[in-house]
Amino acid sequence: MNITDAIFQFFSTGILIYSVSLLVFYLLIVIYSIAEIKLYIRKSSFTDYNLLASSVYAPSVSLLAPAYNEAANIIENVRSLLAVHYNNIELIVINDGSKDDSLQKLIEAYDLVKIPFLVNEKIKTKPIRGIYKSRNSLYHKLIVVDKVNGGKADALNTGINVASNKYLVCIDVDCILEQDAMLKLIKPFLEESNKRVIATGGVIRIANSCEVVNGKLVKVHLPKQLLPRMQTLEYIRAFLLGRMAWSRMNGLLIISGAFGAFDREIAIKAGGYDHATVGEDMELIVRMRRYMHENKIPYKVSFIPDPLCWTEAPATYKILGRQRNRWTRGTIETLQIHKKMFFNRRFGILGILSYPYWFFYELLAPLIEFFGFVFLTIFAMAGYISWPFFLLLLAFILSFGFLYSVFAILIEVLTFNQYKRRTDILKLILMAFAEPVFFHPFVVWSAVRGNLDFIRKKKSWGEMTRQGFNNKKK
Amino acid sequence: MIEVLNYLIHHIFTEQTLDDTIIFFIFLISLSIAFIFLYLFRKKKRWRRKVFLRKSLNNFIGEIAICESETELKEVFSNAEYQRVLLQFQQNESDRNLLISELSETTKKFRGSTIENILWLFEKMDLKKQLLKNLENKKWHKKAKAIQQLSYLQQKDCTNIILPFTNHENDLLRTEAQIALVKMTGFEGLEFLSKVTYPVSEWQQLRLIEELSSNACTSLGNIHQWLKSENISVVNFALRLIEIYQQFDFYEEVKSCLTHSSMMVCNNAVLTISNISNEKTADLLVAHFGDYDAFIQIKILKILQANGSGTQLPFLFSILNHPDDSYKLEAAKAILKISDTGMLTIEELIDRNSFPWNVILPQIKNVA
Repeated sequence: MNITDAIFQFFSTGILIYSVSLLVFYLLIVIYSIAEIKLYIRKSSFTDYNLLASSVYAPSVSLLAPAYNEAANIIENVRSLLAVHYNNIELIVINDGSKDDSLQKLIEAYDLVKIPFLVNEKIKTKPIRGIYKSRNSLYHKLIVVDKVNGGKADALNTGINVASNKYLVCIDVDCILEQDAMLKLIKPFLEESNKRVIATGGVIRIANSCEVVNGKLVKVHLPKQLLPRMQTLEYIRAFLLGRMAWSRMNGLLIISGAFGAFDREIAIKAGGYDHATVGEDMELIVRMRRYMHENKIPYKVSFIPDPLCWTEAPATYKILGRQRNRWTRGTIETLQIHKKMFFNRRFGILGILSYPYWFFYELLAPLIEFFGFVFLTIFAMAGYISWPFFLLLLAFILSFGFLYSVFAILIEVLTFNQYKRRTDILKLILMAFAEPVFFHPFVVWSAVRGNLDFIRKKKSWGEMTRQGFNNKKK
Repeated sequence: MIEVLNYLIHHIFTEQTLDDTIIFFIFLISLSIAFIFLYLFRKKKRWRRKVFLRKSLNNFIGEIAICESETELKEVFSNAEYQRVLLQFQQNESDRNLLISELSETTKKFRGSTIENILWLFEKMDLKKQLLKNLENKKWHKKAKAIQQLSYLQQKDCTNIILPFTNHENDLLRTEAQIALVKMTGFEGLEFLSKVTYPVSEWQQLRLIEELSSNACTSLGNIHQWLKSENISVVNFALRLIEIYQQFDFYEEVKSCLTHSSMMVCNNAVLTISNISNEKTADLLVAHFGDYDAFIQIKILKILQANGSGTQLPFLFSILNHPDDSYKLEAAKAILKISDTGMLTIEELIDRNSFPWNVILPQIKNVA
């Protein structure tokens, strides 16, 4: 065997093994998530969430909403968060050194006044310039923190220091919550008696083209634009299939930064958010889990398949590229920080399965896909593999992708069925076929660029311009 | 290894295998798509039928609900039009279950004679048989539903059937049975706490408290036993009941829980004893202060703000030197509440211009 043959054998065998193992994992994820969703839906039908909304014994929650240059919508967003269906709650809005007039607008709208307030700085943050509370008793739950700019993680850490309640709920200020989202998110903390639930998360859905009135989602529509529509399918796949399966195994490594709840005590003991990474949401979960393992405390990270929070997805390739680039860097940084867990039996399922899965099938997947495609094309051009075989291999991978997407749509229809019209379902199925052409290659390319930017030590978030919801007032 | 890989490449991952797999995938895709639309079609059809049945039922249940005597009930029941409606519900099990579901939902919305009329209808149509049949179902969620509906429909003679489920290994069955017993028999239903070996979760405790809230507290007879239970969740729930229903007679038992091996029980005991407190409670909490973790210690300082007296002042002044600023803040608040001259004494003991006192003092003055 000459050197070229050896290289060919190495790559073709490697790619083949990798692809097959990935498909097997996906298959297992599907099977594993179905049972969990079924169980959740059945149990949910017996649950009266309003009990938690009205009970004086409901656990106390601090809702943390960091805001940076959000002046355009800050008043409405805060009003919407104040109207959250949960009684035992404080809302902490952290103005992270906005350059616009966000703070002034809040002061005027909510009749805020600067108060003396001891902040026990359990996590080191940028200095606080002032803490404000309202003179109007209607807004007694609202606390506004004005601080020097330090990024999202630093703002959230400030919120954690200011918070006084048992559980923390971190939310992106521009997200739209379902009416009972808070109740559903907090319930898992109360259900476990033998393990400590340290974090919970729920499904995030795409809000583009949905009807929003006074900060509330009133009608769900499939996004009209191509990119958000494809992301709708992508989110269904990721949240409904992927995360449910990992949750069942207690192997979840991420709770979305857009809306997630944490045990405050454990979040503080683990050290809070790491502001040195752009993937602070994933990093916190991994660190909290690591803390529990290292201290041998039985715990669980919970996930619920209910759609709880609606967010605006990037509608242009430019913004989408920045987002995926950042996600990739965040994943690399998190996995690098916690490399000690890689195939480490001491961390149980986390070390043996979750971490390696993220490493091989989330971090490396786009790179292997990109270089695999390039190499196979070269091999085909050089005559090492026949073009029919090359095309068959491509068709095999694509057909599995379609199958996986169609299956996700099937599960969506059988469970939460957010898109009621049959034409919407048809459009989603069409997206499954269009995705490999218009969406997936770009996502892979953005991830490759994220790897390059990581090597170049790029740390920026990248500006995320949003179009805003079609927010009507009544 | 290499040989295995070579075998895989040359015998398994051949063009023929790929070809066959792709065809199989395409078949599965087509099948899934067909299933999606078939399911949506059937779902809509089922939904339409349900709407139709509900519509026909609504008027009937509405009329039954407002009847003022049995004669009137019988009159409505024998109405030919309504008999036709009811006949539809006798035809198959799924429709009978829909009728049961509608009746039990109605009992949730109303009180008094309306419920009695609904129960009369339930008996008249002999629907209990169906519920007992559902209780025999192999699927646990159907059993749980049957238990729930039996309780909504106040079938108190079924408590003996439900009782064994209160310690069932399936958590949904177990929790629904516990709720059902309390719903039907009030405080007596809590008897399951003496035998339950599975944890009674915080969520379940909230549900039980909610169910009990509509009953007058008649019997907490076995609370002694519950407070000594090996099931920690039962101890916690018993403490909660003592706190809510102000059971002052159990002061000594709660006091003994302050030294429980579980920190969670200690935490709840601290909270409970502060709610059934006497003049010795504050000193008792101060005496145990050093045994607890930070969470409970801060809680005790907060309790002293409401329940403290002059005898705890030396202890509180000592806390002003605690390394954690949260302790200083809570202790200062307590001193200010307990003593009229507290603020002056604090100002003598600390440097008011240095951190954290330059924040704490204005803050507590602001709150006061």
